[in-house]
Amino acid sequence: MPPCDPAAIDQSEPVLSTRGLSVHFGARSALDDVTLDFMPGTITSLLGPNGAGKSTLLKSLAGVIQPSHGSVWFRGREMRRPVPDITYIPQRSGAEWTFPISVVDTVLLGLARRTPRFRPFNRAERDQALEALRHVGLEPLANVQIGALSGGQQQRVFLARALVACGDVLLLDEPFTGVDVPTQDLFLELFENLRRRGVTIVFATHDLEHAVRSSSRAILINNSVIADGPPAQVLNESVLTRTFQGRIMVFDTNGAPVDTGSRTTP
Amino acid sequence: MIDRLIEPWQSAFMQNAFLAIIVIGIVSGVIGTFVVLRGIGFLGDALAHAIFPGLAIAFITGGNIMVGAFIAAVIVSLGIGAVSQHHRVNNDTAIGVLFVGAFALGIALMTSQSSFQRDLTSFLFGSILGVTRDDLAIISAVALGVLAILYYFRREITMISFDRDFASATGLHVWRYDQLFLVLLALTIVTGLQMVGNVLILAMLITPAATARLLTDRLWLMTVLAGAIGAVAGVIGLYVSWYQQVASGSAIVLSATACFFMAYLFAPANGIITQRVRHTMHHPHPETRSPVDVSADHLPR
Repeated sequence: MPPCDPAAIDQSEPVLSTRGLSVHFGARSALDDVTLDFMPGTITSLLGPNGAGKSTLLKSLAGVIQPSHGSVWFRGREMRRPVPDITYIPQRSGAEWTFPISVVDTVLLGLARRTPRFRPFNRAERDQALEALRHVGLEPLANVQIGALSGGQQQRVFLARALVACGDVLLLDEPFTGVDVPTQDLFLELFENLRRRGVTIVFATHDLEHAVRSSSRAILINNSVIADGPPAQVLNESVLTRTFQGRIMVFDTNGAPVDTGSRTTP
Repeated sequence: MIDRLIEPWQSAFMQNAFLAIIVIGIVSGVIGTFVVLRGIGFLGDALAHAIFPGLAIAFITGGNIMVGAFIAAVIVSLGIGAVSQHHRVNNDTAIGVLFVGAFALGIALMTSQSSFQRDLTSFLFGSILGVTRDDLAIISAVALGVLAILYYFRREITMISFDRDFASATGLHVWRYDQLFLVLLALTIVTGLQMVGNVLILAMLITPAATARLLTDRLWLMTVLAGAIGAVAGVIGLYVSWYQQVASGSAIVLSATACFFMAYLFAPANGIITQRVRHTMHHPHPETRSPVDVSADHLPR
């Protein structure tokens, strides 16, 4: 992992909070009265059907969209715009894939706001970017143009960029969608490493298995918070039915609430 | 041959013209790199036309035409931003409505003053005769300023051009940098106005940068090449204009267009003809092909 400064993180206070957060798009309410606290060094999964407000919640936590009512707090301060310490990786990046930029230079952009303006990136910073690429398994492709990568590889580059940015909070919208199983496993392993370093991770997913395998807390939302707690407790039939409104079938495997992640490989 | 190359440099006004087009070629190539990468050529075209009422009003009131043009460009670019906020008017539509409107207003103002008929043509298509030492000094100062600001904000401008979502999620004021970029673009267009004319200035922004993009996958190299191609195309165009008695703007733009098609066909990595030649050389007639094909063609670039 690239060197960050875990000592600066106060473990006893929530790093990120919402208070009565509501977001409206015109007449439509996307989120209604959401109050949550996120403690440092935790991994939280957000679950809910399409249009439930998962992306809206992540964008609000990132400061990318502003609340219609209520507030978002980062380190005890009300957040009115995005801050460099919170890294947000959107579901579909609006990046220009034909842009003439290499993989390693894309990762270096994660450092752009932390290095002096007139100095080109130095050797140590390049090494840091290469190390982040090694963590996501892309070091051999460091000098390839970004558009030549596959979708899953591009997601990994963005994760590497988040690694060098050394944020305190990492927000990911559907990081497992459209990536292959080895990449999913790699992400889960990286999340755990980051968590141990004190980074707070919140990710949205449709996949109950990822929620159970990787997070210590699952939040089910559908416009407002339906349930919030350890995945094994909250992922039960009644909660899931309320969240997904009858559009779900829960297979009870030997008395456990849901499949707890044992992969059904042949 | 050498005599013919030196001849145009012997008159003072051609010296001014050469120096001016080199400066304009460099600055429009460099800023054009980001116009091309962001795909905002239409906005560039709009700004180039939108300066017309500013020109006309400056002409009629006896003010500085470059200042008039610049003010008009800023007003129209802010207007486009404001109108496109309406959820039923998208950005392209806002540009289309405002730029043609501004252009028409400029022409109406100009044609209402019968003495400006000749000047209208020179603004549309450029005139090398007009560049004085003072103009050259102003063009150079503005160009230097634009290049310095672009260099100072190179990371921010790269970030908003490559990945706007990421840029705004890191707390960058994307809107402010957009406006800054538009102001720099307007300044560049105004400097090129006299030489190339406002109809053709778009080509100086787009063509050298598009040519450079065909030649490299590295942003810094693309920027340098675009500036160099802009300057070289400008110089070649001026020679053509001098010897063939054609409008400087069209000669300059046609030289740049020729550069583009040269790169399109013969670029070392991915020119159309280069690829075909390489394909033929690496895949000879089946009977003469060696059993093991180890050409680098099959490796990922």
